[in-house]
Amino acid sequence: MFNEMLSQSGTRPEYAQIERWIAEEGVEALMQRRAEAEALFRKVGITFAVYGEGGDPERLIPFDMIPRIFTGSEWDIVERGCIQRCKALNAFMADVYGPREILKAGIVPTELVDNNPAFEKAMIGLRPPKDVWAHICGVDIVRTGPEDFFVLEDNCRTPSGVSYMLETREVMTRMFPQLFLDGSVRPVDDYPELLADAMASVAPPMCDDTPTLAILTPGYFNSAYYEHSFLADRMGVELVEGQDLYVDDGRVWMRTIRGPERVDVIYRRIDDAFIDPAVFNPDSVLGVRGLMDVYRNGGVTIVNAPGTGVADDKATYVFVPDMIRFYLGEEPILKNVPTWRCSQPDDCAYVIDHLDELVVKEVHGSGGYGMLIGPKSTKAEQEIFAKKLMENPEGFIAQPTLALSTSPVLVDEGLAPRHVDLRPFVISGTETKLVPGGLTRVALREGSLVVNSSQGGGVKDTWVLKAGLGV
Amino acid sequence: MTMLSRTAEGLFWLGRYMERCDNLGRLVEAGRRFDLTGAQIDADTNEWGAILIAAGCSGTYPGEVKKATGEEALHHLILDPSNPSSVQACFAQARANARAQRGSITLDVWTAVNDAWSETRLFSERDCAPRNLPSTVDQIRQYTARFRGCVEGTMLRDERYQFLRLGQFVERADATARLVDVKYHVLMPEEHPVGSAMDQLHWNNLLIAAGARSAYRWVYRAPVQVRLVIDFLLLNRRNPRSLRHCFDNILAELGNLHSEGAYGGGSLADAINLRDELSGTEVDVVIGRGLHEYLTEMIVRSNNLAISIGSDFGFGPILTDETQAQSQ
Repeated sequence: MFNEMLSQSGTRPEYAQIERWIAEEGVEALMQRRAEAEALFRKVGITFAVYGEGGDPERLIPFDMIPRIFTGSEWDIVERGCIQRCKALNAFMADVYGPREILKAGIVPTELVDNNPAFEKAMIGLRPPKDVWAHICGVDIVRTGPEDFFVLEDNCRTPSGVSYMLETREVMTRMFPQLFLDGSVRPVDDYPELLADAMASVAPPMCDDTPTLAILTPGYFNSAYYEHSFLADRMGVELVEGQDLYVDDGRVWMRTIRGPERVDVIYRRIDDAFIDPAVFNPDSVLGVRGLMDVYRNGGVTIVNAPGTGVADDKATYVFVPDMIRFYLGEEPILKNVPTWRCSQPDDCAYVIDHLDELVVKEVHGSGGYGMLIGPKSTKAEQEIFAKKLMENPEGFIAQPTLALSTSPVLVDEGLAPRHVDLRPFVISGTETKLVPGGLTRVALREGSLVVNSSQGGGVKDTWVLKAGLGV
Repeated sequence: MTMLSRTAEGLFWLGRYMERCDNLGRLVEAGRRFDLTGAQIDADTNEWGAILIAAGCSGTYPGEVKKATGEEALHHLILDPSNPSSVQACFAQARANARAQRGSITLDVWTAVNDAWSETRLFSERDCAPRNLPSTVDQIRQYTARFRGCVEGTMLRDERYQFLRLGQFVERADATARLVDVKYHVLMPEEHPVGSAMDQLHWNNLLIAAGARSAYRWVYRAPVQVRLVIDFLLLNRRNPRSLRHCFDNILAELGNLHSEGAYGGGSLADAINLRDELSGTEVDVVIGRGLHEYLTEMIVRSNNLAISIGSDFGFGPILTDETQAQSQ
C-alpha cells in the first residue's frame, strides 16, 4: 500500500515542511484548532446536506487539516493525463451525436450508446460552439504507487465539489499563513476566472457583444446550493433559477427589476431531464421552457451540453483508453482500472465466481450507493448480489479492489494513514486547462475505502508544489 | 449589475414576514391585556376572536373564531402548524427567504433571522401558558427588533435595502389597520357603550399594543380619547406605526426605485394617491365615514399596492421549491 507521506527511508521530501509544522504546533494544539476551522466553514456557510439521513440539514463535511501534497512532476502526470482524457471525451461526444465514426469503426459498440439512458436524441446533429460538450469535467483519480494513477470515473454532467477545493485553501491560508509564505504551493484561486473565461469563449453565434453569463441552480434546497452561490459570487455573474428565465424572440432573458436582460451562456447545475420541460421532463419547474430551441438555433450556450452523460457511465468508461487512441492517436497517460462488463457473458461468469475479491458497481449509480465491496462482504450478501447480477447483468460492472494510497490525517494519537482519492476539475473552452489542485476526499474511518461525503468521507486541502520543489 | 426580480421579491417578503412576526407579538400582547381588563371589569367579551380576525386567521382557525378561548387562540397564533401565519411559520418563512437571498443580506441580518427561527421553532405549549406568555412576547419582539437594527445598521442603502423596507412598511400599514379594526370585532355588550369605562380601557390597550401609549401622551397631552387615538394610529405622521408614516416611507422607497427605471409605474401612482389622501384627511372625516368601513378600504388598497409593486418589478407567481438532488 502506497503511503504518500512516508517511504521506507522516512518522510518524503515534499512532506518535510508538514512534518516540521506539526512538530512546532504540536498535535494537541492542532486538534484544538479544528473547532476554529469548523467555525470558519460555518461562517462562510459551506455545508453539505445528506438527503434522508435526518439530523442537521446543514451539516459540515469533516475537514482534515493535514494537506495532501503532489510534487510538480507528479502533478505533471495528472495534468497531462486529465487534459488528454477530457479532449478524447469531448471528441467522443461530438462524434456520437455527429458522424459516429468510432461506432462505425467497431471500437465502441453501437448499442452501448443507443441504449444508454443518458444518450439525448435531442442532441443528434447539434454542434455546440467550438465543439465543446463537457466544459467542466471532474476526473476521479486514485493512486497506488509513485507514478501509478488510475481513473476511477469521469464526471461529465454537473460535477460538484470545486467550492471545497477553493474553501479548504482559503481556510488553510487564514489559519496557517506561515505555510504559504515561501510561495512553494501553487495557487488555485483563479478557478472562477478560468471558468468565466472559458464560458465567454463559447458564447453562442448570435451573441456579437460581451456575453452575459449566468449560473442556473435548482434552488437553495439543493445540497450543492452553497457551491452555486459561491461560484456566482466569485465569477461576478447572476445566480438564476428556472423561474427567473424565459424565452422570447429566439433568445433567453432573465427577469430583473429593470426589465428583461439577455443571457448568453448558462452554466446549469440541474440535470438534463429538467432543463427544458418542452423537450425533456414535462413536469419540471426547475428549467426553462423553450431553452433547447434557442440553443439549437445558436441563441444561447448550455454548459455542460445536454447528453454528456453518454460518455461518463461505468460501461462507457471501459472504452476511454480506446477513445484516446482513436481520436488523438496517443497512448493514455492515466490508466483505467481493469473492468469486467457484466453484460458480456464471460465477464459475468468470472465476476460471479470472484465476488469475494471484486468491487461490483451499478453502471448508472453514483455516490457510493448500491455497490458490493467483495473483500468486506459476507457470504449472504454476495449471494444476494449474485442474484441481482443474473437478473440484470447489463446494469453492473466489476473491478478489482485497488490498494489505494494513503495520506496522513490528524487523530488524537498524532497522524494516521487514511485512503484518499482526487477530483481535479478540467475546464474546456477554447483551450483545455486545470488549476493545480482539486478536491481530495478522504475515508476518515480506519481501513475504509469509501470516500464519498454521503458515506462519512471528509475533505483535505490539496497542494501542488512548484516544479523542482520536493522532488 | 441589475437585480433579479426574484431577489427583490425574496427581500420584500423577508421584510414582510419579520414585520408580521412583530405584529403578531403585538396582537398577542393586546389579547393578553384585554383578558386582564375583562377579568377586572367582569365583562363577558370575546377579545380573542377579535385578535384572531386582526391576525388574518379567520380562514385558518379550525373552530368558530368568535368562540375561541385564550388558550386555543394562542395555540393557533403561535404554534399551529396548519396556520401559515403563526409566529413559528412566519419566522420560518422569513428565514427561508433570507437563506435563498443569503448573498444579498449582511451576515448580521442573516444571523438575526437565523437565530430568531432556530429559537422560536422550539416554542411549545408551555411558552403559551399565561405565566410564560409575557416573556414569550418579549422574545418575539426582541428578535424582530434585532432584525430591524441589523438592517438599519449594516445594509447598504441600495435596492436591497429599499425592497426590505418596502416589505416592512406594506406589512405594517396592513397590521396597523387591522389592529385598530380589532375594536370593531370585539362584541361589546350593550351595557358598555362607546365612551364607557370598558371602551376607554380597550382603546388604552390598543395604544399599548401599538407601543404608543407614552408617545400618545407626549403628542396630545390629554387622556385617552377615541378620536385622538384614531388620529394618532392612522394619521399622525410622526408615529412610526401610523398608516400615514407607513405610506410616507413606501412612497419614498418607491420613488428611489422608480427613478432608476422599472417595468411599469402603477405602484408609484398608487402610493402617491394614498399618501396624498392620508395627508389631507381629518380624523372627523374618518369617523364620519365609519371607522370600520374606512379601515376595510385601507386594507384593500394597501393590498392592491403590494400587487402593483409586484407587477412593476416583475415578481413572479409564487412557486413551491422542488427539492432535488442534482449533483455528481
